[in-house]
Amino acid sequence: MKKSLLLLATLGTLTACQTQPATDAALQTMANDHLDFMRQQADLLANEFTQLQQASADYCQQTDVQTGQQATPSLSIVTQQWRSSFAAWSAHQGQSGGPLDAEGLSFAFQFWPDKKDTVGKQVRRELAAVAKGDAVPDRGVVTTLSAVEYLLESELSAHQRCLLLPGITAQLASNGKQLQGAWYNADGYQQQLAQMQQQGGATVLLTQVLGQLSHRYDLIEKKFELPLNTVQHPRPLFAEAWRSEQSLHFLRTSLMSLEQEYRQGGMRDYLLQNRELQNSTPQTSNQHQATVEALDEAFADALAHLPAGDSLSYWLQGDNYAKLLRFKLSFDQLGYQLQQRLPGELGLSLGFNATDGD
Amino acid sequence: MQRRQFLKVLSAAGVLSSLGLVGCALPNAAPARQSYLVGGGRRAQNQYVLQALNLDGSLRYELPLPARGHGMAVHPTLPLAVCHARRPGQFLYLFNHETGEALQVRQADTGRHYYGHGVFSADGRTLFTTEGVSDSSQGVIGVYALNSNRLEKVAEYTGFGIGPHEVRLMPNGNLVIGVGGVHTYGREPLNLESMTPSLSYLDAKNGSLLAQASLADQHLSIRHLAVTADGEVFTGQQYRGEPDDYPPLIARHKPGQLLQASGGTALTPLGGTPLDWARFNHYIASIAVTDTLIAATSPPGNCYGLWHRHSGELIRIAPLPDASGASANNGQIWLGSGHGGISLLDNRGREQRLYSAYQWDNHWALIDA
Repeated sequence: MKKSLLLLATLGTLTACQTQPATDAALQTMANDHLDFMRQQADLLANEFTQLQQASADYCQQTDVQTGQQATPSLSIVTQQWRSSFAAWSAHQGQSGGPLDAEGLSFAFQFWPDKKDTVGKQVRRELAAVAKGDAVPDRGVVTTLSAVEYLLESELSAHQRCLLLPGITAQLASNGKQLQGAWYNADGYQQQLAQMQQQGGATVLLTQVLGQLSHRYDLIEKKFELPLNTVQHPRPLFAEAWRSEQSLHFLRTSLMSLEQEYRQGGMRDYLLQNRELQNSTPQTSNQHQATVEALDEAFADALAHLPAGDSLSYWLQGDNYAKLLRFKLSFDQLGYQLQQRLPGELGLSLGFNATDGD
Repeated sequence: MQRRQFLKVLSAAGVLSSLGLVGCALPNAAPARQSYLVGGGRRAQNQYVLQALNLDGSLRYELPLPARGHGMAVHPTLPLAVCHARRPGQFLYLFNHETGEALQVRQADTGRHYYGHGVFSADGRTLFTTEGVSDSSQGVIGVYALNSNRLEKVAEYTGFGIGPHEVRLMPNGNLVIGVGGVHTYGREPLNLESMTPSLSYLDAKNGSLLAQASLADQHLSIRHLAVTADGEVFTGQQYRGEPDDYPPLIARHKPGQLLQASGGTALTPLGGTPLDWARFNHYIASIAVTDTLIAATSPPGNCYGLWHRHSGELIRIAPLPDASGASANNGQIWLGSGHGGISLLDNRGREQRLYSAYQWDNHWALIDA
């Protein structure tokens, strides 16, 4: 009892005595926009997974598992739905320290990087096990979009595919709903955002929202730079969807969703609204305006220099590599604007401890 | 019961006043007796400070640092502490942790740099710090005598490996060192293919190497440590191998285990699947251990992990953006964050989360006044 009293007394008083920053309308709007946007992304992901589950179920129901003869809808519909599900997932990749992690779903949708083909090995193992009567697993790398890609792209019979496909896509749908629920939970991340604003003020809230953009940028950088490696030794097997040759497409969807989050998730509007604050000096206002323009330009430039097509491995070969290096220039510039200039202007330090091991 | 009612009950029972927790202290108006957290922090424009936060949320004091700080060594009896510069660091900062009075800024010797951690001897007369020969990263334990609030280097211990990071005191008074094994130029690693990390035990009196233990995977750089009252050592690792490998990042060494065992059997990993360990993004920053729990933070993983102290079984991994310092006290664990979050875990692992405007560096200490 004594320890409980100590704990609660300390915490209660600490909470009560935290500096209570005055409510900042621009900050509040940013927090709301951030939450609304991520909820929309979670809705989209959950919906895509539901459709993937349905397409898989249709495929397996309408395929004669003995002969492999397919009625419509064909495998291509499942593949198309997998592609749009992965694109929806790319809006969540790199989210760190939020509902995705809190729900233990960090690796529920994708296992990557996977140069050692852990996914392939485990799916083959499970195919054998399920064929002998074992249950389809409900967690691990075999219930990810990466595993679905393996089933769709490998030379398997419809019968083999359908040993795992319905179970895996059902689990993805379930996990998508769980994530959606977490984003809508008023006692979860929503409450944390309110706490950040009330107890930590602008610095903490801005660090959180900008930090999420920064984490997502880091993940896109990793998706690009792991396979890019060096011109002498590109590593196409580090690309996230090398089996389907869709890695460049998902690089593009990631980049586009990052821009969308910046524009619609509160940060850009905050910078523009912040110009109107009474305590903003004309100099600060101009600075924000210039940064917004620089970021707009950096996003547009990066997307404009991302090579065309879906396959990253195509651009990793021979002279094509130069196109990726050109994109890297634009992408690095975006990184500078997002991770250095903007936080510097707002007086923030992103990843104070995270950026370099010590 | 509402919070207001609850506090009223506590107040009526004299709990709050007996703890010095009634009212809200103003910044720089420190109550004489109150527990507080001390560690490195950051202000705008990359100004680095030493900061102390009272447990009522008020800032007790802040001291400007010459550069970014890292680990804290707290004196066992006097209100003194040393903040160590972040590697490759150039200073030790001795201060009165109760009042915030700066006492000494000691520069690194020529050809030496600090690795960011140190520990006082049990009698408080000696400070041991991790240092390195700047050209080679050969590990050095700097031995400093504390006299009249001044630190004076009196000896160096060597011969235990490259790139030491954290040093802790064993209950018998000897030293245990997390030797990372990484030779660096500045912060750039130079020998990842041949790195040889170890957990090294030194005789505190003369620096003789008593024993060394290693992990099977040589790409696991042993860096951060926690030592329990019964002499069990917990090590936190940074993984410098393949990006799609996720080995366990925390190991334990129990008293009486054979050391220098082939195959790395002397160090036993805590529980967790490869996907669990993947959450930590190859890095553990701080470890705190109570009688029932082990907690470890990971800034790049934006999370902390919690394990059962005795079974080593993983309880949960929870998000904490830019998670950093960890301190155990009276069965509780305090976790900090570079984003301002503070988590308090009770002896059953239940978390209460708070936020402050203060960013915390990798490590902190809870001063239980």
